[in-house]
Amino acid sequence: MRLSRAIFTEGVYESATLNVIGVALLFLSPGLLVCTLVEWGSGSSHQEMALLGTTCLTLVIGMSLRTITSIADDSMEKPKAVFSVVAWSWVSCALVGVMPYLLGDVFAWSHFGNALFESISGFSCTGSTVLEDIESNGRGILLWRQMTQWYGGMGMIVLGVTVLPNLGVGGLKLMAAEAPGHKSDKLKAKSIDTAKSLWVIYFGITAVITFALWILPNISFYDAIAHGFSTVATGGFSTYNASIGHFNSYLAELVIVVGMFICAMNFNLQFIFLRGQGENKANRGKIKVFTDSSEWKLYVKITLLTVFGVFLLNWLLDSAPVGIAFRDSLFNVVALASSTGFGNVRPNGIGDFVLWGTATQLVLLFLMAVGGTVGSTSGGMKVLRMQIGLKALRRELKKLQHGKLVFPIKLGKTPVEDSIVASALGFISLFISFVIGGTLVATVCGGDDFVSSLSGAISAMSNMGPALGDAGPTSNFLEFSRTGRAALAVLMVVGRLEIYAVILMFIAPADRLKIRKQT
Amino acid sequence: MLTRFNSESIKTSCFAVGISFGLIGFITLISAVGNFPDSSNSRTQLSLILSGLLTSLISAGLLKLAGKQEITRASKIFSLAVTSILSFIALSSIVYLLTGFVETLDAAIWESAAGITTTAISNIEIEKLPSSMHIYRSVSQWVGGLGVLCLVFVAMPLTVRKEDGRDLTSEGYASQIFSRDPKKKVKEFSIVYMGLTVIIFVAYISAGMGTFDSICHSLTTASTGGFSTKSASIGSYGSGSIEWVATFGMIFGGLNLGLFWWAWKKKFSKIKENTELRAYFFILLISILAFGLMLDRDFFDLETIRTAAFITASLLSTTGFTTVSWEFSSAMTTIALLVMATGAMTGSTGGGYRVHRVIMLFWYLRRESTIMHKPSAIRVMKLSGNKVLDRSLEKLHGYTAIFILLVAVGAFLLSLSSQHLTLQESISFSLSAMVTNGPGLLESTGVGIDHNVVSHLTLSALMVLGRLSILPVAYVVLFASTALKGVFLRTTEEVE
Repeated sequence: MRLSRAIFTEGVYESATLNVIGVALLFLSPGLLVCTLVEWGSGSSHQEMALLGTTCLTLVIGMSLRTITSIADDSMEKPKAVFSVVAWSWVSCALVGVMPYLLGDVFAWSHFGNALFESISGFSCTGSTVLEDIESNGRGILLWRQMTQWYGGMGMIVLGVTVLPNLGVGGLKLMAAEAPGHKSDKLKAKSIDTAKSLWVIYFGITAVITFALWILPNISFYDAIAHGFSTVATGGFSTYNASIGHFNSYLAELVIVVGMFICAMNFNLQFIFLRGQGENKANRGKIKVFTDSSEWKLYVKITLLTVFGVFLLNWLLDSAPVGIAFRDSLFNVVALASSTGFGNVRPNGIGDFVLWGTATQLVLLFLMAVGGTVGSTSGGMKVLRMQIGLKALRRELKKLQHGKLVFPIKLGKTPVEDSIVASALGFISLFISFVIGGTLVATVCGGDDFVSSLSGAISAMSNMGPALGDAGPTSNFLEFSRTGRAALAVLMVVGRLEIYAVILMFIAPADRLKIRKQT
Repeated sequence: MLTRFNSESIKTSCFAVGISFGLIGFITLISAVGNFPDSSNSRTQLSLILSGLLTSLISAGLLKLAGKQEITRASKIFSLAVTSILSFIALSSIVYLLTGFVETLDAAIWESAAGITTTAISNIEIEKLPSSMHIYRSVSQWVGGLGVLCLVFVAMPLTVRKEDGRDLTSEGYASQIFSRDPKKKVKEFSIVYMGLTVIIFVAYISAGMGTFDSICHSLTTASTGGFSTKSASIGSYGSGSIEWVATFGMIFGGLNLGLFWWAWKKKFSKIKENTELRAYFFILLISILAFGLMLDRDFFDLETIRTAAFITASLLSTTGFTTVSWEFSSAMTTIALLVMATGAMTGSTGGGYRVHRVIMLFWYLRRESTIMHKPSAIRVMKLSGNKVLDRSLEKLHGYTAIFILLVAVGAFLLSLSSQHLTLQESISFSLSAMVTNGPGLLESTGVGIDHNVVSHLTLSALMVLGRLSILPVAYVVLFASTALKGVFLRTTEEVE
């Protein structure tokens, strides 16, 4: 496992975890500073001191940790160590992210849990909120809220590209199985370079979405960039109570739909599409890059078929006018398939999927669980795992028919290792187990409604945002009990860190947080 | 086409259909005899006798045509299981239509599927049925239970190749319990099954249930079927002792029958080391405790414990008897759905995901955690003394995924057929049919499913899939689709 040592300093104490936390916090401070300036400049409220205070706090803590700690030569060699370190630094960011909410009186100190929920929801790119009136907050605070999702998306790229493949459990190992030219060994060796390249794409997409929204009528630059942040991260936070429905604009919805759809696509494929492959830049700008990927094809098929199916259900069963049925189906299906979770609810509840028929809601629940593709910022079980799961089932049946024959599972033309198949199937089982556990805690310990709890658990595990029942797109997660919210917050972390990281965080924290004085 | 459906396939099909005809003949004749003193339902009587005689004759003919069958291959076993159950449902539907208690074909299919798959779901006005039909329904569930035991103890072990090792996901450890010789094995577990039925019958009689009702209820308790002679099920008797008998009967019905055999053979050490048994009772006790606390009554009142125990036993064994309406709070709903989904032990007549799979899943999670912490660690997973192979785990994950997928698809189709169904109701009805339990968990404003073609056929398909543990049906569907694809391609080539 290689992480560039250039970004780390040589302090007195050896602690990889604290050092990386320091780096992560320093990354947050420029964002916080921008939010402070926005808040100060807007004059809409007086929460700039809260943001400035947090900026100073992150700078001081970050610099201190970098100064006094160092990373021992051997401490980052074990993949599990890196895994644990990244997970803890992610949790630290979520904890620091709480400060602007508390210092700015968005939440009272007695409601620390709600502030933490909001912060976790942001950094995990989930988009579930416990804010009752979003619009009553200052522009800087709301921009920070959007930015937490943007940072979370960036962190996800690091996790996906540099950490998970080395444990052989994450999405990228699966992705490497079929992505042309990007072998996992190569990615290991150039993990930081790859992350940087993907960040460039991430920045680029943010800029394009922001620009596309900005040129539309009635959308300010502030709104454009705020929604650009949460779209590229497939997060789903909005600066308005009615989310995208606030704009009531076909064009804005179309831009967001395209943005969500693209951001739930494998960033590695986008990288190859834009920069080419290898030294001769093969396949640059060729759509073949996508069409060669079996996961991409399935993702497109699932999305299109579901849009069509939900449109038919809305039109035929719920008697919605054709135009409205199509608009709402397209927007909500893409929002849920990409695990973004934006809403487009307009006056009189138009576009509120909680009011749709049960059959339609079941389809949406399924979409929430599946999520986007591997190597993207989206959550969920991921299309590739579902694809492998279905192929494995088909193989089992074929084996019964022709017992002694060998049936390799292929993604496109590439056979998939048995260990990857086992890992994908195991992940699906783990995902289901966590959803059941979350539902159980929310209903039994919190006394929450069954449908809200089940859909809330799926939504949290998939980093989706809204749920069904009482926690739909027009509502917020204050509908859940305190215990229920705590359970969902845990699921958000578990879902974002792809389960395994969280298991490691609690299995091996003792040696990862160990501080040893250098001799 | 002919190469695929060769004479061997035809003979196997004849054999399967012959068995179904034979079973229907047996059940209808017994039912007709049961109705003998009652002359008020002559149409029913005549229909049953004629059906019985006719089907018995056809059965004899078909079995003769099929000749002796060597059943060793997985494909043959699966084809046989699916053909038998489908033909039984088809024939039983005709009986229901002939007797006139069901008016439409889809409703008849639904009632028949509920019978043979041991699911307590019905839309017939129970109190209006003559005694012969009660016997018919009860015996069909009992026969369905016997069929499941044959599948688990005899058929499934044959589908596992020796070189693959023991497949705990598909067969559990059931193959190790009775004698190795299939004929002896069938005899042994049939004796245990009949013995259990007789004990429950005696217990019902002792608890004050009438003789006829005791016969019917003992058949449906031992088979974890859940059909009752009363529309209010066991609750209609208002008797604590009858409820206790039903509770223990259901708990025993959900146990692996091999445990009784081991007890009979005084192999108590084997019972003691049985992990699944411990887990079964652990789930049972925890659920009774949870329901007891959530019932909003005095927990230390015996009636509360009895009600909690009854609900748990009915859900866990997937029997489906009721004493109270299943309109629970959200917490109880979640626990009830989980208990229902877990289901009974392997080697029992109960359905569901099964306790042994839950244990395997739990241990898998533990193993994964250990391996991450200590990558070099080797953690051997064992279930009741048997090593769990990686292949079994792979199958387990596949089974889990398809189980949930089928419940979801079922819920989707049910919500299409009954538009007033809530999300919770559609999921619970679908799950209940899939685990062969029966009643769904209603919400306070719920009215249940609409009875139409889509809902009847969806529930029937789920019951069959759940009863056969998915695999045989999936195999036959794949085989049929491959065959049809072959025919289609050939036809296209010929046209070109």
